[in-house]
Amino acid sequence: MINDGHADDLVGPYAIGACSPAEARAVAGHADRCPTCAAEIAELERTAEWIGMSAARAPAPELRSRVLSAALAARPAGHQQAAELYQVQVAELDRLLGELSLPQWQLPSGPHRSLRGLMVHLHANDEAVATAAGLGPAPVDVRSPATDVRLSWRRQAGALIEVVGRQGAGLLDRQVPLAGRRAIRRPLREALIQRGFETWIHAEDVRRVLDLPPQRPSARQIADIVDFALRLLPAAMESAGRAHPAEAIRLALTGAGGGVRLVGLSPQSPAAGVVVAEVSLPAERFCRLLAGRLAGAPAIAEIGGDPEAAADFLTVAATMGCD
Amino acid sequence: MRALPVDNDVRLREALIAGSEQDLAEVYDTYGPVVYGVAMQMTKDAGAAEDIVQEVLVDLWRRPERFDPHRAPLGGWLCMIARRRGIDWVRHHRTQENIRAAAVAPAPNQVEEDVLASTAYRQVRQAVADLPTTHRQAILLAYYHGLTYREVAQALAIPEGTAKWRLRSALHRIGEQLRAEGFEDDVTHPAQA
Repeated sequence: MINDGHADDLVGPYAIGACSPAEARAVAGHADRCPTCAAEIAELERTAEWIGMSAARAPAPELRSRVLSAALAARPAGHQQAAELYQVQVAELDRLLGELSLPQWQLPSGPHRSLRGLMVHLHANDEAVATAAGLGPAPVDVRSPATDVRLSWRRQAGALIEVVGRQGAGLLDRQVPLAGRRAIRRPLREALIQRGFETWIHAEDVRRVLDLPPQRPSARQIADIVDFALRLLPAAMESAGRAHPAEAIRLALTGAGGGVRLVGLSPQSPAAGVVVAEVSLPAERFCRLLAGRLAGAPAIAEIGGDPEAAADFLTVAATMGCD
Repeated sequence: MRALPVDNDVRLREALIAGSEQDLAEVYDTYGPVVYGVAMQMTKDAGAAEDIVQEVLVDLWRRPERFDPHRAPLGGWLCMIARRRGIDWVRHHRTQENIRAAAVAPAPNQVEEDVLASTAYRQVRQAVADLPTTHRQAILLAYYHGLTYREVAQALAIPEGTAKWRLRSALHRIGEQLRAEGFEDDVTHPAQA
């Protein structure tokens, strides 16, 4: 495929995405090491861009307001949204905790030995973000059985929401640590989405103990969680040793917060990549999968195309929770 | 070589991350016609092309951090995404009949009253039109119909090696003609075209 140490005529098809996935990978790998081919590819890609730009033509005038309203429905303007969605989940979890009897606090939940242990864990994950956002450490040791973990957790979450509301944009850009099995720093804006995500998932854990039916977050929150996780996914694929360079998944999420997304399967090509498989499932179910709450569930998603790429995608996605 | 990043692209990216509705409108006004044009060229279906514009812009708004101004100008990047969506659509709706029709079609036929046809855009279209027919067929099938070079070879009943070579050679010819006409600057920002 790569002749005499060069990509030769394949650079043409490659520059306009007309190779097979295997060839695209081979060319990309070669171009990483070969400045001659890399320069030719850059030049041809540039020409392909010109061809695309030259197709410009005016759409119907009505399209403008349609597109802008669809965008704002998918993500409201401004910054407050993530903090508001987080606040909703904090209030709901606090309400549920208020219903627990003393013995119920001692019941196990998922990987946690007790609901109290679960709340100590959530408190610690929140604290890492709160500290990075400039709040002082919690005034009490929540591990101590004498501490009211619910109260301490609620105060800390409230303080985080309050400081975001007060300081706004600048603070939301600050890099803070995310919770999870990989050490990653992202802007506070994204960490708040993760806080809302984890708080909802633990509210679900508490509902299970209380024998209450599961509850779905708002479409807005589901969409935020999905987008948040998909941003991290290419790097997670790589660190799990399951990257598929130059390949992508078409993820069709149904129901509230859903939509179609193209997901690159390696950090080298997060936006580009040939679609090799389609994965379809309800968006809410995908969020539960991300949180590791679908372990062992049969037939998680409908899969078309390359089963290996789809399986790797779902396997890595299921590791993106905060436990 | 082009100078990346384009300052305005860096600014727009930051503004979109910050949730500025006004800058989203600017992106739409600047690049909407390009995205629509690419989608229209591929799908030949106004409804499908409008859906693609919506998907591309909503996606940019939801995840503006995915755009890396150090790798491509915003216009070129949106064009690439539009094309990928277009390929997706075309592959779902493709028939042997419309591939055959595309194989014999002349250069993409822009509507005469196209008010957006800046000189730069006309030059690009001319460079595509000036290609030998065999090259032009290959480029149009691959670029606008989303065919791989193997599929191009099949559609045109030529060896795969020939299809590969025609695609590479066609891109070089277009690029050489445009660079000879002074196309080294960034024309992907329509304001500079």
